[in-house]
This record gives sequence, C-alpha cells and structure tokens, in this order.
Amino acid sequence: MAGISLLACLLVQAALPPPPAPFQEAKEAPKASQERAAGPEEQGPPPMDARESTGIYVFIAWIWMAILVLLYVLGLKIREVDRLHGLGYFDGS
Amino acid sequence: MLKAWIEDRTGLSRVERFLNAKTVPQHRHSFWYYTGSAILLFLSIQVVTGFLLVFYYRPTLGEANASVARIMTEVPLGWIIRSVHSWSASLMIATVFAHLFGIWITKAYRRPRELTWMSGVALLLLALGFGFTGYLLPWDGLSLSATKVGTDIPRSVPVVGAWIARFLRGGEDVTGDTLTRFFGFHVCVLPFLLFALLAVHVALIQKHGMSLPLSVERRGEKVKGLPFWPNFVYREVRVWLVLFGLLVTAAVLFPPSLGKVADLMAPAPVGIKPEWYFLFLFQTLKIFPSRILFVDGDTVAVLLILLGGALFFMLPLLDCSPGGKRGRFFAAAAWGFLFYAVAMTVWSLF
Repeated sequence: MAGISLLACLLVQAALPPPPAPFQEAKEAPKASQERAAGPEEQGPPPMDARESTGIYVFIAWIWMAILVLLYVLGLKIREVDRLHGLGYFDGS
Repeated sequence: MLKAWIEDRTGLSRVERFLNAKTVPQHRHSFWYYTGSAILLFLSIQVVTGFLLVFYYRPTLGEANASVARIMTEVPLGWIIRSVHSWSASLMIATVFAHLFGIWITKAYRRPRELTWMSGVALLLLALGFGFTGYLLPWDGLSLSATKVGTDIPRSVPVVGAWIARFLRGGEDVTGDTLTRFFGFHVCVLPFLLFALLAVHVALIQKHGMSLPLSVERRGEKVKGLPFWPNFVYREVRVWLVLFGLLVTAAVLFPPSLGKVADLMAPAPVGIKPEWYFLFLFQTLKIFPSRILFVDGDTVAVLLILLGGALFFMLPLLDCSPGGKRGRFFAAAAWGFLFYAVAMTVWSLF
C-alpha cells in the first residue's frame, strides 16, 4: 500500500511543472532593476497583471454585448416608425 | 404647465416643427449622409475627453511630458481617456475625408451649395490644425522633431514664409514657447473658429436641405423622403453605436505610447513621420528634387500643394457644369486624388 502511495506521489510530481529554481529568479532580478534605472524608451499605459488584462477583454465583450442589444432594440423601433410613416402617421404632425 | 412655461420663454416648438417637417432623401447613395453626423459624434468625444485631459496636462517645457506620463500611469483611467482622445482624432479626420469625398463624387456641392462645400473644406483645415497642434503636446522626441519639420515647411513660401514659420513657432526655433502656443491654439483658438464655422456650415445645410446626387437627379425619378425625426435619427444612432464600439475597442487594445522627454539639443531621430493624414503631403514633398531649374525644389512643391488646396476649395466654382464633359473630368479627378493619396501614404511607410 505504501509502495502504491509512493508511486502515485512520484507520478503526480512528474506530471506537475517543476517549480522555478531560486537561482533563476536571482539572475533575472538585477536585469529588471537595470532596465528601470536606464528608463524605458517609450512609455505605455501602466503594466497590467493577468487579472487586469482579462478585465480589459471582459470590458470590451460587455461593451459589444450592450451595443448588440441596443442595435436590436433600435432595429425594432425603426421597423415600428417606418410602419407608422407608411401609414402617414407623421404627416399631420 | 412646465412645457408651456419653457415654450413662452424659448419658443422651442419652432424647432420641433422644423424637425418634424425635415426629411432625408432615400436612394442608393444615402449612406453618405451618415458621415456628417459621425463627424459630430467624434467631435463630441474629442471635446469631452479633451476637457478631462486639460485637468491634468501642463503645457510647459519642464512639465508637459511628465504630466502626460502621469495621466497614463497615475490618473485613474487616464490612459484610456488619452487613448480615446487620440483615436477619436484620427477617426474624426478620416470621417471628414470620407464626407468630403462623398460630396465630391455625388456632386452635392453644385449650386446653390457652393458655400457649404467651402465651409466644409475650411473645417477640414481646422481639423488638420487640431491634429498638428495636438501632436506636439506630449513633448517627446518624435513630436518635437515632427513639429520642427512641419513648421519649417512654410519657410519655402516666398515673401511671407519666414513670417508664418516664426508665427507658428513663437520664435526662430521650436522651444517651450512653441509648446505653450500650440496648446493655446489647440484648446482655445481652433475650437472657437471650429464651432463658429460649424454653426455656419450646419445653418447652410438646414437652409438648402440634403442634396440629391446628380445621377439620381438626372434620372428624374421620384425620390422618397424619410422623416428626419425619428426615422433617420434612429438609423444614425445605430451607426454611432457601432463607431463608438470600434473606437473604444481600438483605444483599449492599441493605446498610444509616450516617448522620452524631448531634448532641444538632441539630433532628430531616424524615421520621423507625421500623423497618417499628413503622410501623402509628406511623401509629395520628399519626392521633389532639391532644385528644379533655378528654383528651390521645396518651394515648387509647397506652391503646388497650395495651388491644389486652392483648387479643392473652389471646386464648386470650377465644376460649373457638373453633368457635362467638365463634370466627368472632375468626377474622375476625385478617384485620381484618392488613388494618389493612398499610393503616397503607402509609399511613405516603406
């Protein structure tokens, strides 16, 4: 039983991505600080984490959903006012 | 009760009667009518976002670039406001070009709408003026160099050229005075001129009504009129919604960047280019040789461009028989000009 548990643990560990090695972080950190010290050539909007960048796409999707709903409602209104125009409803106003 | 009170003091019912009586002709070229209101949509967005940016922008040599950086990094939603302002400017100018092109090919400028066309061309120049003055305001290396090149071009005009260049720059060179001067033009002088001229333009359109394309008029067929309110307005709102969606999407996904603060002593960076709507003129100036016979090549190029602008302004007077042989020449010239502008713009990108 213990052997099977150990085998399962080893298999799970093999399937998972390896954790980042500590020395890699130590190598990258000075590079980033050097870039900050030199100053970027071009400045864009503030950097976004994954949650913020997902939020951007959700915002755009929400905008377009709202626009599509409004376009549908306007389409119905246009059909209605065109029908009224055909009946001469606006002629007397 | 309230309606009667307002009516007594404003006479708003006249506006209501006018809107109820106004009709828009329906034919296969009707889509051009939507370009006019699209310009107004983008202009409104420009005004609103411009007001918001002015709260934080500082038009001085030491603070301009830093204040734009602050707008983009610290002010809540500042980056998106700036991006919408920038994209809306481009889309507004693109729509003005489309509007004028539609009028040109449908010959909607013919009698009695000559002044409507001329005021429209003047509005295009003002819109380009907004673009030119706004480009310097971030005060980065690229905007400084592009403004140096742009304000140097008038020097090629004989007699008054040097004076125009000095007037634009506020001195012999582009300095902090130029920045403050351009800011003044951008937020005060140009808006005043634009709204005054826009009032004249809209009043002329209301006086003469929507024009019928020449091809439709010559066929002599009876054209149905659609009530402006509410039938046409609802259709316009649909177009506005789609344009607004495109604007927000572009502004969110492709915000403009900001270069390092401009250095007045630094050499011009490689590959200076103006905004896309000036590229065809920029390329036209580039292809001229430095000397043509005994005359400076730039002077010839600038004079030819000014001549082209004057002919464009006076188009309704030159195209005095729109249905005749001369009219066909001017219709072909519209397509020729479009081809030239697109070809030159593409060429300038390589």
